[in-house]
Amino acid sequence: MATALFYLFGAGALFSAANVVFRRQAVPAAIWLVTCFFFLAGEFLLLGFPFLAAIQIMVYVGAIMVLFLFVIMLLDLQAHQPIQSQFRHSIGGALALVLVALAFVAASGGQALEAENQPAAPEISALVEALFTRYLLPFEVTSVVLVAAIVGALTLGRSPGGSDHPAKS
Amino acid sequence: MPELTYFEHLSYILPEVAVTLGLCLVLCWEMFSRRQDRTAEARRARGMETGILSLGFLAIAGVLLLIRFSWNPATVFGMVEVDRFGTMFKLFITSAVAVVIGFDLMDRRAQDDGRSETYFLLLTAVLGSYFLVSSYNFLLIYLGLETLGLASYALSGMHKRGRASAEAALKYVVYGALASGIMLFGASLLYGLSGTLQVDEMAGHIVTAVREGRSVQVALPTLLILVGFGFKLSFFPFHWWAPDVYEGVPTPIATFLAVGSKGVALAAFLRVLAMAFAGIMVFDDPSVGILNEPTPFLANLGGTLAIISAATMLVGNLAALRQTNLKRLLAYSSIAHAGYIMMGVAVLKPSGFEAATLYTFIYYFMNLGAFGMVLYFANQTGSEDIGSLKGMGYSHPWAGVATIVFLASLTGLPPTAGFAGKWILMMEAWDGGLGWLALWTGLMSVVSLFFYFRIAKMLFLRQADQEIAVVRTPILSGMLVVLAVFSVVFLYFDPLLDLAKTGINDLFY
Repeated sequence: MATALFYLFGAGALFSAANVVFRRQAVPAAIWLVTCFFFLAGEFLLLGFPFLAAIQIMVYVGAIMVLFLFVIMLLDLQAHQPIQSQFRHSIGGALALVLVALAFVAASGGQALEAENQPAAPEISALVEALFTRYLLPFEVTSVVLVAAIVGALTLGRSPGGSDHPAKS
Repeated sequence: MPELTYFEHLSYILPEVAVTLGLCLVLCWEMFSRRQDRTAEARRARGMETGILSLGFLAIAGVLLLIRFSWNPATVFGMVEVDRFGTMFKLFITSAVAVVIGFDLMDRRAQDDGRSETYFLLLTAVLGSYFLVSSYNFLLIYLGLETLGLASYALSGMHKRGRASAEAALKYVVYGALASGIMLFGASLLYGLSGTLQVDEMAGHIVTAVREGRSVQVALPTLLILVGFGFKLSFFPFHWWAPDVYEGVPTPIATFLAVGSKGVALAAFLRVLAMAFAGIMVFDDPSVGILNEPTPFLANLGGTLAIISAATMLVGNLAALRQTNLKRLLAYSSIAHAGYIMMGVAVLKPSGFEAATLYTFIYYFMNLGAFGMVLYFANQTGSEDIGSLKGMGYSHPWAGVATIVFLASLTGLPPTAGFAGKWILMMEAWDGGLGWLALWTGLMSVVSLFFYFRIAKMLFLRQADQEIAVVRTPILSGMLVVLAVFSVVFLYFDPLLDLAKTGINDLFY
């Protein structure tokens, strides 16, 4: 049962991911990405990581994808400009896909890649403890990354002719 | 080692703390000093203030790093290795960014708006680099790389100089995100193989996998991780972004991308390679006395790196021949130099890594000088075109002669440091069984002579079209002369090589 569901969700994730790439319009592509995230969350659930599944849905679907949709709609991309693609780009993409697939088959020797020591599904408390003890420093560095990203975004978004900053010659 | 308390751990990363405080203060400075005065003078003064503030904090961090250099290596927070290799490269990035800020303060074409953001982002990049060069935990390596990356993307996009430069910045972000995504994927495969994020703990699993003939399981993630570092080091085939981005950004930022970010990416790359693969590298290990058996995996890895190195040199040098924009030319030249540095890495021995580190240090002086030269002459003529240099060597003798030194050093001509560095790299490649690569480097250096000489020819062998008034910039000229002196003095490279040896020693033994 679990195995069947695993493959079902996997196929669903692949199908939606393919749709993200092949849809010509931005909004449907974004919706398909949401679907893909849901299937992935299902996979995490099956593998015994309910917290990760919940986070996947809350953060990626709830926050990031909604933001994506806002941006797409703000820029008003949907109906007028289908995404252009060129044939030679498709060839490059297909080639990359085949090469990566071959590399994975070679790497696994035809068998599924197995983790040598499968980590046990963590309790949330264990996760929190790791985050604030073992991984405290990366946690703190992340805050600097975020501040840098915010400052960068604000600087990039500032219009050169804005009222606060008069345009320079 | 006894268990350290949190604050004792913190005392080991004081330079990082200093830079963090600095960047917070720089960010807040303009907010607190936001007078309603929006005249050009007031805005210029505020830019100056934040620049000097940043330089001050970099100086504090530099002094702390110098003090720390003599300390014994220690591991803090379970994932930061405070050793001389890391400290060396932290000094490298600190001083490089200090020079970049100096360049920016002296850039007569710089906009006064957004200066404090520029310095804030540069300091963030320094902080990211600190963690990048000293960590051996993939999580922190990735975070360091991403801090550096985000700062670089913002820096290259914030100077709106028209469509082409905006497009370059956008390409940089998209390729950068893709490259770091691919690298993350590689790291997660290694995590699957070993169940840990620590590179030192991965090493055992990697050695076992290679010995048991499962080397493809290691090769695939290694290649994926190579993409991430390759993008930052801009070697072939991940170099496409560099010329466009360098051309589109102000010269100080291009200097930072070419020198600072490349140097620290190399350091992290060397650390990961050394920690992950020391167990299968073939070299005389004096502490163990065991000569590892050569494995096909190692030969393939070395071969791949060697081919990348050769291709990078070819692409960089050939493309540079046709450039007329000085910054584009230097971008291709710095791609070619990434190829030279990779030659030392491809040997996959401590001695090769030493040669690569040494060359990176020499590259630092001559490339800071070369970009400083672009800035100097752009300040004079307002143009970065190679034709604008006509006859400038006579009206600007100091900068002109310094430029000749940088160009000779970049080509690898004696009597400059560039010659010494390249010579050692070629010797290492020759000894490491990559004789063809050493010969190839010689050939490529001859090619590079043509485009470097074109700049020299413009400076001294052509007459100026019209007289351009000389703008006195004594500080910038002084910096150029000092960098030029270093580029010659380090022909006697022993102290630098000793430094590189000390650092690499910390990595391996």
